[in-house]
Order: sequence, then C-alpha cells, then structure tokens
Amino acid sequence: MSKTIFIGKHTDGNNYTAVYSGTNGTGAADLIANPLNRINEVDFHSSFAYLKSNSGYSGTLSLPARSPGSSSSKKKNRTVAVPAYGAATYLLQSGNFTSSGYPPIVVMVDTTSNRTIAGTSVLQQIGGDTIRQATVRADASGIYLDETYFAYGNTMPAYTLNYKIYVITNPSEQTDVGKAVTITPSAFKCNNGTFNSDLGYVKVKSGVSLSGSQTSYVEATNYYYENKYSLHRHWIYRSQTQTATLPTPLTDITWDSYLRYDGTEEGMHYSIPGDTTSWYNPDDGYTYERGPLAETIMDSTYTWSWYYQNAKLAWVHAKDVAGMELSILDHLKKSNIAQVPYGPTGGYYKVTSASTGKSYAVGTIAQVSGGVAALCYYVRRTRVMNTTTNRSGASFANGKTINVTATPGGTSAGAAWNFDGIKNEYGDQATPPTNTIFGINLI
Amino acid sequence: MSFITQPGRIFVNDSNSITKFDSNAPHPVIYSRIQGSVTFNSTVTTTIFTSPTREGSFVETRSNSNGINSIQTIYTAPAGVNIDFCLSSFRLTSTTATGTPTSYYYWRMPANSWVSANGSILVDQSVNSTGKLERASIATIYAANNTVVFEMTRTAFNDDASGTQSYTFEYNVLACKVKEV
Repeated sequence: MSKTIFIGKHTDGNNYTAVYSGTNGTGAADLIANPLNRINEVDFHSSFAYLKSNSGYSGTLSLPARSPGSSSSKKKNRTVAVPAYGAATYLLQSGNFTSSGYPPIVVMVDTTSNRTIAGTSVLQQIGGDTIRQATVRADASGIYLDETYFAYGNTMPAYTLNYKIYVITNPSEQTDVGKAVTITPSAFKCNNGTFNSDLGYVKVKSGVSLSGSQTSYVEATNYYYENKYSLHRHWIYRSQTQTATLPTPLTDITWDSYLRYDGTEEGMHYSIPGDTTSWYNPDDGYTYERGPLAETIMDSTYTWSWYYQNAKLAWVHAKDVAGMELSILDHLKKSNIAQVPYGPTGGYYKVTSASTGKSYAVGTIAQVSGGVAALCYYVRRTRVMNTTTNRSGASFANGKTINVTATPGGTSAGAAWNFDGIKNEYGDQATPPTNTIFGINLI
Repeated sequence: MSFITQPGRIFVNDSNSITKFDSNAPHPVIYSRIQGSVTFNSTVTTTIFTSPTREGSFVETRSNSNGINSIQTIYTAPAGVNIDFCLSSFRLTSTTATGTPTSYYYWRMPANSWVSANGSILVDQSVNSTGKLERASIATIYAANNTVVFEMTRTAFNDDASGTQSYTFEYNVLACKVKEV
C-alpha cells in the first residue's frame, strides 16, 4: 500500500500536512488528483471542538475537625451536645479565571479516593447527623472550595484533601470546516521500502521524481545562455579568430562568472581544449552540459577608407586598407574612443594620430566573411544526488519502509520532491542518528 | 515515534509500538456551548387564622413557602444529534431568598462565582437552633433525551417569610457527545 503525503500552505497562513493511503497515483482512489476529497474524514479537520482543559493544578487542602458544641445547664446540672454547623471557604488557586471571556468550568478530582468533586460532594459522613460537603467554584480572583458541615452526634475528624483541578475556559480546538485545507497539487508518493530518514535536510524543487528502489537521482538545472550584464552562464566553442583557425579550438564554460573591468574573470570560467558536450568539474562536483545552440558568431575582415582635409578644407582620399579585424565602429568602442562623426559623408569618424596629431576621417567600406568563429550554446549543470549512501536506514516501527516512486498524480503540475539531502548536517559521525524524519517549512 | 495513516484514520505510535493517539478511538467532542439565565420562584400561600378569646377574637396571618420543584429546558439538540452528557457551571446572580424566620443558621452559596455544576449543587440551607434542617435548595444541570435541563428543588416550609423568594442563575454549559469514529 502506497502512502501519499500532501503538504500545502493555506490562505489562512497555516501549513497543512496530510498523509493518506492511496493506490498507485493513477486510479480513482488516488488522492493526488484532488487531495481535498477525503480531507475532512480525518478528525484533525473535524468541525467539532475537542474538549481541552486550559489549566490544571494540584495541591493539598487540610480541612479541620468539626465537633459538636455543648450546652451546660446548672439548674439541671448537666451538659448536652448541641449541633455545630457552618461553612468555610478556602482559596485553592489565585488567578483570574474569567478573563478569557468564557465562564470557567472546574472539575476537581480527589486524588486519594479518585472521586470527582464536581457538584456539592459529600466528603465525610458519620452516622446520620454529621456530614461535611464541598463545592468548588472559580471567579475573577481564584479557585475556591466551599466547605459546609454539620456535626451533632460525632466529631468529624480532620480531612486531608489531595486534589487535582482542571479548569475549562475555552475548550475549543475547532477547525473551521469551511477552510480545512486548500492544497495546490504538490505531492509525492511513497511505497513501502527502506525509508532512509537521515537526510540532513530536504529541499523542494519542481520537476523531479524518483521511482522504484532508486538510490540516487540526477539533479539538473535549467539551461542558461547569459553573456550580457554582470554574471555569465554560457558554453562557447571557439575555433577561429579573424579568419585564422585556432591551433587548438577551445570550449569556454562559464557559470556565474564575472568579467572585471581589467579583463580578469571571476567565478567559474574554464577554457577546455577541443569541442565537447559534457565536462565534469572536479572543483565543484558538477557536470556541465552543452545545451541547444544559442547563436553563431561569424568571423569577418573589414576594409577601412581614410580621408583627410587639405588646406582648402576639401576631403582628400588617402588610402584604403583591407584585412582589418574590426569595423571602425567596433574599433572605437573597444578602444574606448569617442565616436565623433567626421568626413566626406556619414559613416566616417574622427581618428587622430597620437604621434603626429593629425586627424583623419575613417570609415568602413567593405566587410568580408571569413567563416564561423564561435558557436554559442546554452549550458546547464547536473549533479548526482544519492539518497541512501551512508544513510542510517531507519525504518518505521511496523517494519514497513518507504521508497519514493512514480510521478506525482499525473495531473499535478506542481512540485514533486527531490532530496538534496547529501549534506549531512550531523558532521562526521560514524553512526548517523536514526529516527529522524524530514520536514519542510513552506514560506 | 511513528505517524501512521489509514483511510480516514491517523494514529501515532511511540517507540515501543504503543498507540499514543488514535483518531478512531471514541472521544468526547463539544457539540454546543449553551449560555443564558433562569429564574426560579418560591411562591407563598397565606393562611389567616381567626382565634376567639374572652376579649374577642384576633387574626393571625401565616405564610407558607410552597417550595420549588421545577425543570427548565435550556437546550434542545437538533434532530439527529445525540447529546451524551454536559459539563456545566453556573453562578447565582441575584436572589431574594432568606433564611426561615426561625433559622439559627442560614448559608447560601456565594454570588457571582462560577460553581462547578457537574453534579447537584447546594444553593442554600436554613437550620434552626435545635439543629433541625428547615429548608434546603438544590440545583442540577443535566442532559436527558437530547435536551439539557436546569432543575431546581427547594423544600417547602410552613411558617416562612411572607414574600416570594426567587433565585436567578446564569449558566454556562458545554453539551457533549462521544464521537464514535
């Protein structure tokens, strides 16, 4: 019998967890498809209120002996017994027992005799004319016991009352039936099997499910191709630079790398010889994988044309130079030179010789494609997550065990679980703790 | 500790496989909280005695308290609901009761304090100088036939004060049923 566990956050702000028996996640009895089907069959979500004692006190009260009185008659030279009757009040517990807004109901138990004192109870009775009664009550100042007694033919001995008091003010442990649970489909299914509970911590991530007695799974990130802004994630295969084939083609793999202003690279940035589709990085334990092609960078050469102004301020053609690596615009950008339009027509920019101080108008007049310089791919990284290695193998008390199995519900687009539980937060203990069940706080 | 589920049932076992909680075990639940007040009156019957004497006759008026033997229904459960028991408390909010005219000792429960009323409560008693109990009043709240009633009894006394004596109580009742799962 498989088990199904639901965890969800309700709009009331509470997290709810429910565990059910299910069949196989695909049939009519599968609760994943609609976890609300049977939620109210569980008494935790009953619309009834449960009895709850709000406070309890224990103590001992000594009630004194009660003796009949006597009346002497000198005339008749005799003394006769007369009844003694009265009442006494004892404070058992100070406190305001009406402040909650609910009138208190007090239940007292005589823990010596195990009798309940919950009305006017007879504590002692001797013959037909000697009796002691007790009543308990509570108000804004405390809990009291009222003793009423009547003694005539006998002396009532002292009475030691060992008591325990339960005070019920607001007994309600009630779940609003109208909002018992609302769960966004988010489930995993478990079969019997070894439940390895020493997972350290659990991380929730969508899109992963385990099957059978699988002891590990591969966690994979999404694919990224980010080469703008500060952090780069990309996979670039470079085979040529400016029409010249690289002696050794390179694959540049970056993940959260950062190109500093001075040209140095921070973060994960490797240049691997050759064209590859997968690469394991021993430094971080991840395997980086090449994804779909994002863009192709073509290599080109450019022809620049140079003009200068003569004494009559006429533009004079000076020369054309082919084979330039960059267009004039790219050259200005790369050299961090201001783009100042200058020349016989548009598309020409001012370039000043650092040695002579003479200014020229330079424009790009031709571009020749020289082949593919680089192929830019998306990249992701994967990691094998073991679920049983070095785990304690703690099992439930009934010996039944759990493995994660099957895809959640078929209809659930929500999260399955995966266990990023490799991190044992118990340190290097030779014997990991047992009976540790995992939990999660949904925020 | 094991947290175990079955269809419609949850139970928790400790490390020795002893069930510490089982939602299938019968348990009391509160069906309704009942609050309100009731008043009971002890009416008086007046009897006039005319006695002849040598100087004529005189008239003597005696008042007899008729006592109280009253049951007031304070809650009726809706159809299909069985009330098994109730937990209650009440307090005496006002009264005109006094001791008997010949009382030597009169005791009455303190007012405005919530008395645990899960049995019968002694409300007041009046004792004469010979020790004879001349009058006593008892109040009880209990569940019967899917109703909750407030019952009060007060013994009659045939030479009592002349005015009607009344008791007003405020009650707080939890009507409970045992949920059979």
